[in-house]
Amino acid sequence: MEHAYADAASDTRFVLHLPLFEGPLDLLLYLIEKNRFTLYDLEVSPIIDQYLAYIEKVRLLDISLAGEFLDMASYLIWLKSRILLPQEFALREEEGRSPVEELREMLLAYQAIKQASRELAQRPMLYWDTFPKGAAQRERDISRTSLGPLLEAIATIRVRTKQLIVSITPMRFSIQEIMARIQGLFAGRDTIELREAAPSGERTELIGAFMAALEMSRLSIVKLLQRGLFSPIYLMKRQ
Amino acid sequence: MAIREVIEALIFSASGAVAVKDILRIVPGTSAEEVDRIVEELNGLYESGRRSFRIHRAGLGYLFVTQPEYAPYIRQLVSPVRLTAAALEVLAVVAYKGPCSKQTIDGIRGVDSTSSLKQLVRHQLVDIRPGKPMMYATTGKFLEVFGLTSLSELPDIAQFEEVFGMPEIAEDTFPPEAEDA
Repeated sequence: MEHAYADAASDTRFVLHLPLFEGPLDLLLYLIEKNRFTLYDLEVSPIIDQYLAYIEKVRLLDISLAGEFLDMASYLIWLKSRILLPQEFALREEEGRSPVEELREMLLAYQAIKQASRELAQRPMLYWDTFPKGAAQRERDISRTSLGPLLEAIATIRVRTKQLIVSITPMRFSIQEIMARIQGLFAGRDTIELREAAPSGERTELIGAFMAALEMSRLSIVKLLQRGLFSPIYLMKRQ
Repeated sequence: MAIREVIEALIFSASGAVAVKDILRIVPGTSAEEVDRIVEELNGLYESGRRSFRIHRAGLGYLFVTQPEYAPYIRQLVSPVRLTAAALEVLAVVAYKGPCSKQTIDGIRGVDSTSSLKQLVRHQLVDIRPGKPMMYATTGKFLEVFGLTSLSELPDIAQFEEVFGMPEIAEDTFPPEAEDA
């Protein structure tokens, strides 16, 4: 394994140069810019094609992609189908704006926010470009930590872990056992109600009976039947 | 004892920002404008003395901060955390559209913003306002960190849209390319 890993790492042919995007809108803006369009003289079809090509490339490389990219892909496929319709039908919702117009507005809003975030990043930031008095004490390095804070930390951990103790009630009913019990109940008849398999009516026993019923259904021993939500569940013996 | 040095001592003594109203309470007979002027004067002294710090107006008060050119050294002492591009985007949405819900933030960015929001809340740059849905708003620390005295000091967001935008075009002239074809 280690050898294979080293090989892959040293083989530069596998180095990928895929631009990274914050999300589908970011990718769309990149493509629009790359094609030298602006949001106001936008040809949608080539952008859609390039978006889908990018998604396809990334998927072929087996890189997991955020769901939002795929949502946008299916939206764009729909949008393109609308564009290809004859003009009199295309791109006009019953009332108001066309889908292209909506997409453009989404992109404009996102682009403005992206620009605003860049503007923020360019401002001198306290704790990055400038530091107030005492900034160095706030995040002490571990060698300068004294016993007091350490004991305090231990106390915090104690309290935190205390709350995490859960009591586990062991399952007292084995599914195998209940399956055998159900087989017994079938003596002389074809149909039983699930509750019969859990005579105590206890929650854990009911759960056990339900799981046994599912297992028997899976093994094609019984058919399960329920007429409506929360109504009794019947087990019917298969022949 | 000069008022100037009293104000300097007050700002020096605090670990965070000293509120203007506290200075006005402790130093009677001054005004906010006067304090501003005195701080300018002090900064002039530090500059001519080639000191490594200045007094900044941030959030609702004043505080001593180091000059940016010393940052590379101080960073080795504090190892600060840099915000990710995603977190900065979320922060911009909250600063401009806030208080707003997570749904609004996700809608504008087109992606889920949970982890960025968590990062910002942990750094106390964004605060949660209880309710249904929960609303997110920037904090006083946000103003302090970005050297703002209020959110209205942020550049107008419409200006960013203008940078890329052109005048509105009527809906039925779009797409123009399709008509040419």
